[in-house]
Amino acid sequence: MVIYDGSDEPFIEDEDGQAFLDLMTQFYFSNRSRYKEQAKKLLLEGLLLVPVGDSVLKYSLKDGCSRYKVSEDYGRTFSNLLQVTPLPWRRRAKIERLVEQFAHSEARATLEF
Amino acid sequence: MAMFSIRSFIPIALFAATAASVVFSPPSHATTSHPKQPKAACRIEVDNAHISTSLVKLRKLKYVKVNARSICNVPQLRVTLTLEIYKTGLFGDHFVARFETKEYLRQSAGLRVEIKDATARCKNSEMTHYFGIAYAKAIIQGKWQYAGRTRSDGITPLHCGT
Repeated sequence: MVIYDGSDEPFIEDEDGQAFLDLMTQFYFSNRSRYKEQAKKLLLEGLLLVPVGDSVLKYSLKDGCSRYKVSEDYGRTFSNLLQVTPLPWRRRAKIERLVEQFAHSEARATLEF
Repeated sequence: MAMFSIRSFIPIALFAATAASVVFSPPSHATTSHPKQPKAACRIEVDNAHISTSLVKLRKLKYVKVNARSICNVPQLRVTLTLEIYKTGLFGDHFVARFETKEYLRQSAGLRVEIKDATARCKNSEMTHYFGIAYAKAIIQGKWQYAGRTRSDGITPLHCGT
């Protein structure tokens, strides 16, 4: 296993990669208050369905992680797990982590599905 | 240039191709001949972790990001490429996040299937060492093929605490 300092190498994202980052960042700031409410609901109920365009994102909590799947037939069937993120212990940190996951998943749903 | 590690589907794919030819090859007196399929040579590449930034309305966010791809010389179908990001710690490696391609998506088929959205936001500038691990399953030449866990070539120290 090589350990090297990669900090000297500036990484240029390709067009798709940068578009995703920019959209996720935009969602993170512009939808923040909605995401916080969603996070509180998810922590309370353990399950959350969020429609995004023609897709439905299904978030759930299991084994200390937040995860999501997507449906493109109005919730009849769902995809494989698309993202799994461990949640920290503190409630405030949990909400922040979920806000990030919501921004990530909605950006992905907007660009991919 | 980004460094990456490679794990090949080849042993499994070749085995499958060989087994298929033994079981299903037509008898020597058969009058019809089928075009011979090329041997599948497939691999997974995992880049080293790096920092990416995004600037929106003068507000900048910094992310640790790992890219990975499944590359094959024959078409792949229903590719589920999984990428896990880890950071090293005092008592072993710590799981940061896991990402998967969607199996039935149009982009999850073809000669090259990529994950380009595996990110975790940096909370602070604490020096942290990251790497990625990827594995995949896909239908190649009509059979499910599995590629084992492939790790980034390097463990990258980044000023990015998660």
